[in-house]
Amino acid sequence: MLPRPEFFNGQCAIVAVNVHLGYNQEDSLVMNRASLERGMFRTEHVRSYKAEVENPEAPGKKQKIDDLVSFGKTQSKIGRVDSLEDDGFPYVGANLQTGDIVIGKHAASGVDHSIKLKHTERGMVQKVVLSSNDEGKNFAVVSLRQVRSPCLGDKFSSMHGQKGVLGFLESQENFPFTKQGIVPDIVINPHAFPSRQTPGQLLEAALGKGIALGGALKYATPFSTPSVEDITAQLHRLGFSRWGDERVYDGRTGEKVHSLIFMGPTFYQRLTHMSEDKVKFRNTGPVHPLTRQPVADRKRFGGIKFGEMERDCLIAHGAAANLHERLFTLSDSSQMHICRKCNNVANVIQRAVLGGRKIRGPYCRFCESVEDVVRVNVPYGAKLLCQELFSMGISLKFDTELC
Amino acid sequence: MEGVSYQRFPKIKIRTVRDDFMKFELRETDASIANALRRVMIAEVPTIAIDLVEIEVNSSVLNDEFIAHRLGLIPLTSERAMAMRFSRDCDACDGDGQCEYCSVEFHLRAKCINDQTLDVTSKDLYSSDHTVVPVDFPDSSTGLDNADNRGIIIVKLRRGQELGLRAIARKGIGKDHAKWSPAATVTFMYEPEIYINEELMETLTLEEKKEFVESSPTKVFDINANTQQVYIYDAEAYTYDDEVLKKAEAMGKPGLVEIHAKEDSFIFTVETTGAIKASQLFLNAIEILKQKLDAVRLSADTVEADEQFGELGAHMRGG
Ligand SMILES: [Zn+2]
Ligand SMILES: [Zn+2]
Repeated sequence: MLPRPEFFNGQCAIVAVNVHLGYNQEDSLVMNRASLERGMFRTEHVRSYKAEVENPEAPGKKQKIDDLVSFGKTQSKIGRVDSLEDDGFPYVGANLQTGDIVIGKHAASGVDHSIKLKHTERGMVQKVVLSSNDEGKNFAVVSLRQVRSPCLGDKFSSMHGQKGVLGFLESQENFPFTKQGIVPDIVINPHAFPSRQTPGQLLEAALGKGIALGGALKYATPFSTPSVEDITAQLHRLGFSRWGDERVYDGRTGEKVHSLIFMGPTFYQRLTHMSEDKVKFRNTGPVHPLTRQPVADRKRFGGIKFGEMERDCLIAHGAAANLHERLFTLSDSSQMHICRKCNNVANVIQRAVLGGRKIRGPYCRFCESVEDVVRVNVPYGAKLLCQELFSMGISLKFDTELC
Repeated sequence: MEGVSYQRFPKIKIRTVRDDFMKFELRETDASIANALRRVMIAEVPTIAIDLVEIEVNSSVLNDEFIAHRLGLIPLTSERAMAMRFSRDCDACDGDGQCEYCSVEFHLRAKCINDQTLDVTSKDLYSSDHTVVPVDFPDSSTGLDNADNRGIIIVKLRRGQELGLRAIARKGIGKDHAKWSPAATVTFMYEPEIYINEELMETLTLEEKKEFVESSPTKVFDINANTQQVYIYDAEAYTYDDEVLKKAEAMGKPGLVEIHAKEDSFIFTVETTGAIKASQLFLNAIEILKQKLDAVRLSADTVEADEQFGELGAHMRGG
């Protein structure tokens, strides 16, 4: 076995410094789809779900039979139970999707306590553990596994802090190739270098290229790096251009590319920021109970924030109707009533009228009348503020105009 | 414009052919043809590869997806692939992809019963069709079946671990997934034409000549020990790295050598995964390229296409 002083957690990709159809602008990078299909940067992610139940045989307090919760499969209203076995756990190897029940749990009375996968979660069952702890509780842990191949928007980094997101998956045949048939795994943009001062990455690639051909391990710490002369001489000796450049042919046309392209193996790591964990989309969905504005949380199918800067953009474009729709109609649109006589809020109340009937409607308690009360569209947030201030003894007055 | 013909008669000269390797010259054509062949060899010549895996039992250290992925990447002998049907347009099984016309079934069953680690390799895959087998199965022509040839390792099992599965192999192309690409390396270079300016060269001292010759990372030039003349040792070793040109410039002798790439002459290197022979890969690539051109020609056989394709349309109709 190879002597391995440390375990590595990345891969040496063949990296070319070049532009690739503009798909590696602004620190993004282009990857070779064939390399990924052959297993490069594939990762396995495991996530576990835990559930506890009271041990009925445990000594001590006894609960009512009806409240006793136990693991088991029942027809659940909150999610699918197709993958569960009778004991309430999915079988090892089951493919669980969004909305499936991971652990079936219910009370003897029939109340469902099952654990459901959130809309962002899915995976294959890796392991199911059933055990008990010192507090006399039985617990179950179900681990879900997910194998992920890199996809658009995933983040990668070299050892020099040159991080970037995947901008395009290109086919092998479209990449530039050398006389030897070498095709890069990753293409990064040359603009990543001048201002960032990471010549270390270029040295790594050049040294790595020599080592890949020569086979001798070398230390490349800042204190013991072989000199640039050593690196260039090594490359020259092995039949490559001193500075790591290579003549490449355009993969699309087969023509020689005018400039020489710097290429060499570079250690790259996959970072945990993956687009799959971050994609957010929604049309209508849950709103916050207090503000009635859409919730922000991705796990809860929340909305995408339309912040100040975005607001500024629409203002700059003069897109008032669009802005109104974004910030009001599709957010916390609400209505309130104003008494035009005293300009106070006229709340909707239920009150008795002559004849003993009760009617419900806006009524001004200051003027004790329903005359001249108008309805205005107002964001629920504004209405809430008005009510909160009112509760502290501050009344807001509203000037209204009919339109 | 009428009567203009672009027809050419490319020539091929084969230099080396082995089962999985071929080197040849392609002449009297241009980069578009050379590159089309390269691209088709990489991405469009069909082979057979495992595409569907049903795991019956797996208590190994690798998870099901991992093993399925590894199985997919095992090259299978695919001489039959050209004649086979794609599962997606197979009538016999309604696109189910499990019939004999469009698929091959494999079985694997392994269990480690003693304390020695058991290697599960491509040799443990049993094929339902003797013409489609993992590539390093002992070839009857070589009779090679020694301990060195253990096949492609899939997973290692320790005592008590077991792996059992059924796999379906299907026809596919490299464009859909790299596992179907028969090409390990397909590349070409333009044939270089090198002229030495002898007159200028003679103005150099022997020391300078040595320096010049050694400035090329690959051995393109050499010095004749007797006449002390610089001569072209191997023109094709030149990688177009411009190192010698830069050296000549640095020595104050620009034009010492002139190097041109012949625009109509290519040196190809083809290496396969073993799924098909290198020579067959090239022939299949030509066949597929022809089929693709036929498809264009058929769609161009209309009056509208005349305007659409213009000169190219006239050319395609043999004008
Ligand atoms: Zn009033
Ligand atoms: Zn079929």
